[in-house]
This record gives sequence, structure tokens and C-alpha cells, in this order.
Amino acid sequence: MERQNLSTSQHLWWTERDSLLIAYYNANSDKFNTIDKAGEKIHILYVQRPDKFLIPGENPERDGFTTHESNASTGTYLGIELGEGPSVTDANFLSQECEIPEQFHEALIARVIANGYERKAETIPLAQHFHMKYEQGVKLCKVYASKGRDAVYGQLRPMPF
Amino acid sequence: MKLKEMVERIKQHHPDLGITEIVRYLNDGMNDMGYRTKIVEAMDEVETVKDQRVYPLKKHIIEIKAVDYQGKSIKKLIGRPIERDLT
Repeated sequence: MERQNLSTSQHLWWTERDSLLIAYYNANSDKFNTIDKAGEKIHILYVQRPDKFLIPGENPERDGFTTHESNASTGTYLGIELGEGPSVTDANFLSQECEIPEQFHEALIARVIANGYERKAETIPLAQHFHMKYEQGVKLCKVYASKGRDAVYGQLRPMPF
Repeated sequence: MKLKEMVERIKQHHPDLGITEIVRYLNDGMNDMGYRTKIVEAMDEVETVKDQRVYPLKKHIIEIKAVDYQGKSIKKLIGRPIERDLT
């Protein structure tokens, strides 16, 4: 028996070796069958690494990113149009926008300030102070990421048994 | 906030830091924050290939939250089938 806890025939997904696997589980035969049709849509909702800021001359390194050269409708990268080619130019370099919501930019800045103060032994206490500010921002960001924008979050309510 | 404004604020503390160095530090920070908080979500669409079970994931994907097949949400299998199919 393939899976003892499955009783309904259905499509299922799982991950393995850095890949997404999709198959149809047939409860009658108790087998997983690979999809034998081409061109059917699969949508994957995922958490991604934020796109990084580019230095002039660098190309977006996001896997599958397309530019105006290949597809006119998807040439925007961090709020700037990469219309003249796939790399960031000096002119639009400073106009890039961070993908992380704006309310947490201060925390990001605090982290870089801390990195700067870490370069000298006498400013290490300052670095610690700014790292703490960064960690507070990360904590708030985690809450924001889990509750989204609907302001609903889990509450534990005591229940009589 | 645009990169320009971020750089200006950092420069108030570290006028000697080069702009490339600042950008590298910001990228490190974004990577760390993005990974720890899972704040940036996205959706991709792929099409099935006949008799193909394995679809390689793009490098920027940290975690899959849900998968829809033909417009309907499908469940995640806990574990993996006993018979491994490498197609």
C-alpha cells in the first residue's frame, strides 16, 4: 500500500531535491500517476528572497526574470524600467525601490549603520544598539508577514472542559 | 523609500562608506530579513508537461505556501510515495 492515510483520489504536491512534484493519487489502485496532459496550469504561491539592489551594469539575478528585450510587459525591476537593456544604468540606479514594506526600511537602515560601526572596536557598543533596533524591526516584520493586512491574528481563549 | 534616501540616511552616520559597500550591506540585510520573516510572497504559473512529475524550482523561492492545479487548490502530500518516479 502506497499511503495508508489517503482514502480519496486527488492531485497532490510535494517537494523533493529542490523541485516541485505533482501527481494524481488513485485510491482504487493505490498508485501515484504522473499527469499525462500537457499545457495545464499550475500556480505556485511561494515566499521568495527579496530582489537585491543592483549596482550600475549588473543584471537582475532572479531566476526567470524577463526584460524588455524578451517581453515588453515585464521589464520593471524594483520600480524602475529596464527598458534600454537588462542592466541597471547610472541614471536609474538610485531610483530602485526596496521590496520589503516601507515601515521596515528603518530597521534595514539600522542594520547597515550597525555594520558600519562594527568596523572599529571603539564603536562596537553603537553597533550593538543599532543591531537591537534591527532585531526589533525583524520582530514586527514577522508579525506583519503572518497576519497580512487583515489585522486578524490568532488568540488563545481559555475554554471550560 | 528609494535607494537614494536610504543611502542618504546611512551616510549621515558613515560619510566614509562607499555607495557600493552600502548597497552590499543593504542586500545582506534584505536577504536576512526576507528569509527570517518570509515577508515577500509571489506567484508563478507553469504549465504541465506530458508525463513529467518533477518541476525544478527557481533559486529565489524560499518556501512554497500553496499549489493550485487547473485553478483549484491541491493538498500537500506529507512525506513522499514509496515508489520514486524521477520523470
